[in-house]
Amino acid sequence: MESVSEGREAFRAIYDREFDYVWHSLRRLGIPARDLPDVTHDVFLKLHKSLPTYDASRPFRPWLFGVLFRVASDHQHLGRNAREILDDMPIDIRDMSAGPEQRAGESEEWRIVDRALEAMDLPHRVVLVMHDFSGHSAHDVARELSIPLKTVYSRLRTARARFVLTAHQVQLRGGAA
Amino acid sequence: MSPLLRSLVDADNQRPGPSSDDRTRVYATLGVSLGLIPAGAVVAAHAASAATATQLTATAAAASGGTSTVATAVGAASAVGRLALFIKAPLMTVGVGAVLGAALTAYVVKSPAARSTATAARKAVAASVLATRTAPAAPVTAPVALPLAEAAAPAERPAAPAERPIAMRTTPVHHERVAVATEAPPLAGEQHADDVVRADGALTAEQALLDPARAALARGDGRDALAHLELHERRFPGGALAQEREAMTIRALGLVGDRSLARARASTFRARYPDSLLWPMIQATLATLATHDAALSARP
Repeated sequence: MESVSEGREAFRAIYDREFDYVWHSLRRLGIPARDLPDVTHDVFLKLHKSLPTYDASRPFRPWLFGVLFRVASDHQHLGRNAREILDDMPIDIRDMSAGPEQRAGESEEWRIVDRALEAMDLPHRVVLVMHDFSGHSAHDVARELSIPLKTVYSRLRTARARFVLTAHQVQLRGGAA
Repeated sequence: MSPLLRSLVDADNQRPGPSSDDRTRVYATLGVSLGLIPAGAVVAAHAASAATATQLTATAAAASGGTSTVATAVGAASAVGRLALFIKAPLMTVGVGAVLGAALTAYVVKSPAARSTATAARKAVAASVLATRTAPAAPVTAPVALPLAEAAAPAERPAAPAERPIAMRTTPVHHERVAVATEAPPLAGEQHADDVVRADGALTAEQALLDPARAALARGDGRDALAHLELHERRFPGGALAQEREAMTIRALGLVGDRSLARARASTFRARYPDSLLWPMIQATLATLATHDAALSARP
């Protein structure tokens, strides 16, 4: 049986090692900056519950990505619902919920990345983020997102094309996105 | 991969990550969510004694062991006075880590029965937070009023002092992740005593404004509740108890019959705190409003 201190150290080690990874992955999936602490929290909570089901023969990070993707999807779903409700509200109330834009101090390239990622739907976005940004293999992407390998490749092709197209457009417009 | 995509991915990888403050706060909040750290204990951490790390481990170990896990963990979570002493702010990363580690062990390594610990402990947390807030510097020997904890584990603790519990039973809200996120004192570097006192003072002041509002709600006086709640909103718009205030405001608005504003604020609340633990309570308020609407429209 694992000792208390081993369990403690294990979770702490995972947290320390993966915190930045979770944070950046969520950001790339479209979680707004103001919600990143909350959603990161939810991911580790979920991770905590899901760890017993983790198959240690699989690489950890792709599996973790699967966990955080499911949490992020839930969050975005909720976000959309909330926005639909908010659309019916007087402007002043709507504004109360709008956080400050987190653009200040960010480089032009980061802004382009954000715009290009925003321009695609979640199924394409997640494949691009997982494969090209996080560097996971197509096989890992397929397994952790539970989609066929062929689908991974076709989504990746489409996602890359869209990403580059939007990036060019944003560059050409010189920031007037 | 196209060169443009490659260079943008590289640029994105250079982006600054979360601050160490983010890291620490999320970890502390996680401990609260898992039910092993009362949020109030984190806030009231100034009373800490550095010699207690081993005690903490002992308490945590007790929480994770044996078949009486649920009762023990509730006891551990509810022993706010002691935990408040354990988690010294400068050592918070270490202290919280120790508690959370035990939570993990109880939660992941141990049996499914142990997992219900977290649920039971969460109930205790809601109560203990309030208790701690009103007596943030509670000495280690002081009895801590924990009516909800006792409801969760009736056989566990002796009767608590009567003054607070009565007020707390009328408490219309629970909160677990509230205090840590906004009120946890800064952790990087040296923790100055006066910083903590300030944080504590603010929390006590917030609580002092919300207490009469809570009492007013309990006796069905929405107007009086709103007066106190508005005061809180003016003084602490983003305070540690903002979620609690919003939930109470929605209820108060319902009581005074301003149902459309109540709904609007509920929607704003939902958007701002999408996974708030107070949401089910607000939903209950909204359901009551819907009943009123139905009654009105049924009138001849």
